[in-house]
Amino acid sequence: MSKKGSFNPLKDFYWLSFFSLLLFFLVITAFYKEANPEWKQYQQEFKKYLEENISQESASALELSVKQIWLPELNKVDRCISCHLGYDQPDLVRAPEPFAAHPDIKPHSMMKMGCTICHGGQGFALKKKDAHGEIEHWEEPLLGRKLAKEYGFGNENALIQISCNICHRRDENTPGLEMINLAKKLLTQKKKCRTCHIIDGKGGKLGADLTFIGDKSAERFDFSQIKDNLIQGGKPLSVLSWHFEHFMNPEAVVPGSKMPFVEYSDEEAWGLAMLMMSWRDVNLPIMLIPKEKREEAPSPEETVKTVKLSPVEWGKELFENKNCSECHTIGGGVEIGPDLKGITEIRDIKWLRRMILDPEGMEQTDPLAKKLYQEYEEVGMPTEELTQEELEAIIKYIESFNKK
Amino acid sequence: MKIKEKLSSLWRKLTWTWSPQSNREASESVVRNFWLHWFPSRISLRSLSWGYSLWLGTVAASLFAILTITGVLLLFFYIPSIQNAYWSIKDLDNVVVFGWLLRGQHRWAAHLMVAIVFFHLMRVFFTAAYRDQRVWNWYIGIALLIVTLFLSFSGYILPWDQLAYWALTIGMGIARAIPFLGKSINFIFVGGNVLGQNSLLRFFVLHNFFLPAMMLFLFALHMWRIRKDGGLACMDRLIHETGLKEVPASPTKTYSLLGVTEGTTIQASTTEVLDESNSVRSSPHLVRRIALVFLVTTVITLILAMISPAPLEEFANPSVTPIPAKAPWYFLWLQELIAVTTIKIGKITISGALIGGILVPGFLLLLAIVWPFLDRSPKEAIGIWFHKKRRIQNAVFIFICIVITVLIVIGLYLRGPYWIFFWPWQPWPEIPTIF
Repeated sequence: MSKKGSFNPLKDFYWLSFFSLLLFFLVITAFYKEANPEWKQYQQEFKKYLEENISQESASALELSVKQIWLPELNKVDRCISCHLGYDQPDLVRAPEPFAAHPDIKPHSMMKMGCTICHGGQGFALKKKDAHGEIEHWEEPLLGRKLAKEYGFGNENALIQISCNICHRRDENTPGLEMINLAKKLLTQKKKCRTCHIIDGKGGKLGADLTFIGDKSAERFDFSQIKDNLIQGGKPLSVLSWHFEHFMNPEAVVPGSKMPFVEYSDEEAWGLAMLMMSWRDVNLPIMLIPKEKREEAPSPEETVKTVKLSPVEWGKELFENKNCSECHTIGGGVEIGPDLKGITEIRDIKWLRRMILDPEGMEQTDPLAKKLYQEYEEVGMPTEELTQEELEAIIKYIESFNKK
Repeated sequence: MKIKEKLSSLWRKLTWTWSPQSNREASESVVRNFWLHWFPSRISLRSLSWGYSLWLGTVAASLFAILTITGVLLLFFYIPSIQNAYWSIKDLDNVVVFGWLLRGQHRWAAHLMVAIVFFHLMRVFFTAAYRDQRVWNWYIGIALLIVTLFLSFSGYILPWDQLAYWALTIGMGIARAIPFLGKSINFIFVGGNVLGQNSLLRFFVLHNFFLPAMMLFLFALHMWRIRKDGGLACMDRLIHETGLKEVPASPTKTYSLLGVTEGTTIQASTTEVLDESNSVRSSPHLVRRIALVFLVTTVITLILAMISPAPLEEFANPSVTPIPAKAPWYFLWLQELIAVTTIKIGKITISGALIGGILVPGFLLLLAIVWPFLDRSPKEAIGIWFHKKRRIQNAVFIFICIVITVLIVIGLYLRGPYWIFFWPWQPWPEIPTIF
């Protein structure tokens, strides 16, 4: 009977009651948590703000609920407006954050584009930290004040230019994108990038293809040379920083790099770095592509067909469009490649044709081409696809300088 | 007065289909009630005690029940497509009412279940409860452990985030190392040669149909065998101590289940041992205690889910390897073994996937299968924790468990980027980000 005494059914009953009570309180807590999300507090505050500063009607018209812009084409849901409540009310321009109206950005439509496509952040989220992307496992932080400060930009919206340029990539000059515009200007003025880099399918093969460089993941960049400096300097260890440092001094970031050193100002280098970040392969719905850029520019061949050019004029066009002018001048002195003035007289014409059509093959087999390759710092000439007519036109164009 | 009587009779009608008039009838109630018929009518105090079984099997079954309930609810929100799965989870976390709680509880219950099922296996080993007629239940138990592991792993894949994608990559890498069959197994589970929509759908079907169905079937078998094997192993002790000879079962009282097993009932002999001094009626004492265990398990998973909600990593990206890519914790000891046994001689790398991924776990599984026949300890050791005569085999078993735990801890906490070893006081190098 002593064993029987060790089992007390009442004890089980007490524990059962205790844990039932605990479960009850847990359920209450869960309901409380569910009923009081962060966004609701913002909406209550906003309601109060409307009552005090705008009108009673507008306050009572506000329904407390999750608000979102749903963009099926972009596979995005932006719930930012659950807290940024005055975004579409122009009379709230002077309201405090997060209730202030969004500045006028016509012709862009917030209802068609949402928020995160420009500002970054996590549109799905409803808590401030999650939504602003200040958490682990979200790679697109808010391109706002906090991040701009980390990079030392005076303009808190500076980084949004990167998002703008994803759509406006083909614009020469986009109003409001000072740094990107500056970078684009550098690109068209000096445009030596294509000597070594392919951009949009054109260019040399010595460097990386830059067409969609903005999609390259952080782990594929070599930070070994700049890591310590960045951490000590309190700068973000990021791809954007990498691009900046690399434009400022390519060899310091990638030892043995053949990329020429150009003295850029800080602003220019940041602009170029931002331009790189913006070159991304994003499937844009047709409605978001800037109108004037929906048509492709005519190719040189099409130009020839429509505007009858003389062989020399066509050759000039080709010399520039097929990237010859990136490295060669005709009578302008040696640049990356030799000056081509008088080349048709000193070289055998057959050798010249082969050299233009298949430079990469020639540099491996032909002794003269090999010698030139060594002489010009081993920067190889990229192969461009040319038709027989195009080849002759280029040669005619180079020849036209002989008499001058 | 009349109303009170009426109410109480209504209450009785709702709660009791039939009310017992005597103790004997109360015992028979267990047989009459569908929900209770798998319990014995009386349960020994030893089986009922907290200390003997630690109630680990009941906890595991409770966790499976919680997983089934939360899982069915999650099914209403989850979309098994690689484009949408991730975003449907984001919605669960952000806007679905109690979505965060459902997911958190499901995840915690799943992790706990793996651990608890293994603890249950340890308890069975330490009490030598896997011998003689219980060998079959030991095997069913091992099968249940394997099903639990695969259920947990297949659930890991479903959010289709970086964690899922790379855990699957590692898992399939191990599967490919299986001699002869590796490539075909990989092809079947991946649904091709490249991870993608097919892989997700296959793991979805495994997770939601095949594995739970297998679990339910094996669970039923497991419960049934407990009864047919004479209850928990501590019952053998009771028979031994009371000195009662086993009463030969009536030759006319036989059973058979779908031809899986048959014989004369063993239970007939053990019930002779149970009397008022050493046992209580299962209904309500066993039922109440099972309810208590289920309740405590529910409360614990709820608390854990509320304190630490389920994480979700970045959208699965085949071109970005998380640094480092780790398997779920219960497979980490294998990943660690693979890393340790991968040898580089000059330019040749000998992959450790075969040793760490196949041979070692295969050997351990084989050992578990043959062990009941290699075990030479006396019958008195059955049903007693850490019996003196089992000292050596218990030590070996503890050693194996410690090695596995240490490997898991190393993998979990001491392996940093590129699987480099870091002590806890050594900071991990900062990993570059996009912005």
